[in-house]
Amino acid sequence: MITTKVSKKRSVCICQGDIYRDIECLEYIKEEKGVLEISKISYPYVMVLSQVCDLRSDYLNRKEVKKKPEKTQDKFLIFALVVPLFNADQFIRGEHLSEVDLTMRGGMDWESTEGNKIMNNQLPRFHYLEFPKDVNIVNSVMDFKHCFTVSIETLYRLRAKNFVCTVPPLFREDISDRFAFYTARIGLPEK
Amino acid sequence: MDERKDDSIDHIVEKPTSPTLPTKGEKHDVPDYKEIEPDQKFHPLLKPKRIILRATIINDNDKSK
Repeated sequence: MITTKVSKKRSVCICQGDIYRDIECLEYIKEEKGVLEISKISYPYVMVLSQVCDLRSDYLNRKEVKKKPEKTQDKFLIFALVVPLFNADQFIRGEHLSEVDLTMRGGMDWESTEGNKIMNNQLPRFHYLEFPKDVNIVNSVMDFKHCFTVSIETLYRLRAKNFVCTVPPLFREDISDRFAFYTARIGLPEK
Repeated sequence: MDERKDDSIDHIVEKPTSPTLPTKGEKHDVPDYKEIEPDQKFHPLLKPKRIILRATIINDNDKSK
């Protein structure tokens, strides 16, 4: 297992590989008999996986529009794609989503064949991350099946407080490449 | 656009703010704390959690009648 390189330098714009903490995902909003109910899921850590060029163009276009309001917002993004990071120990026991009432496949340990494959990034669905000691995040697993989007404006609003670190180019490209491979898979019928 | 060009943009060097959530190396008073290896500490709060908010809708138009 290779320890993931990270940088605590924050770029001027949101970048692929950025890790943010306490990010909320809106689950639903419903109204019944005059009572409004909002359900959201709060994720301790997420990593941004939108393409770097899209995020950079969004930033430059926003800057441009601020100076010249007559310009179009053609490159604006509304949402950024993020993937949550789960605590590796909770993940291996299948307990990482217990507080959203989901029991995931567990009963493994890191010594088992499957656990070992996850740790070595040999299963397309998952990406194992081991952080350097100076980064206050426990060993984590990203589950590409649980990607969601966060409003770009919300991320910009939160980033001063919630930015944790960013994963540098080669490492983030590896994650992005594995994510793209997983989401582009084709399930063929067995019969 | 070549994404490596992203590295050429100005970087603001700043220390990240202290996380409010429990993190590695931090001690927590949780019931099963002693069963956890020192370098694998975690806290139940580190799991994603569902938050449900409810509010009564007040129709201001009705009040004014």
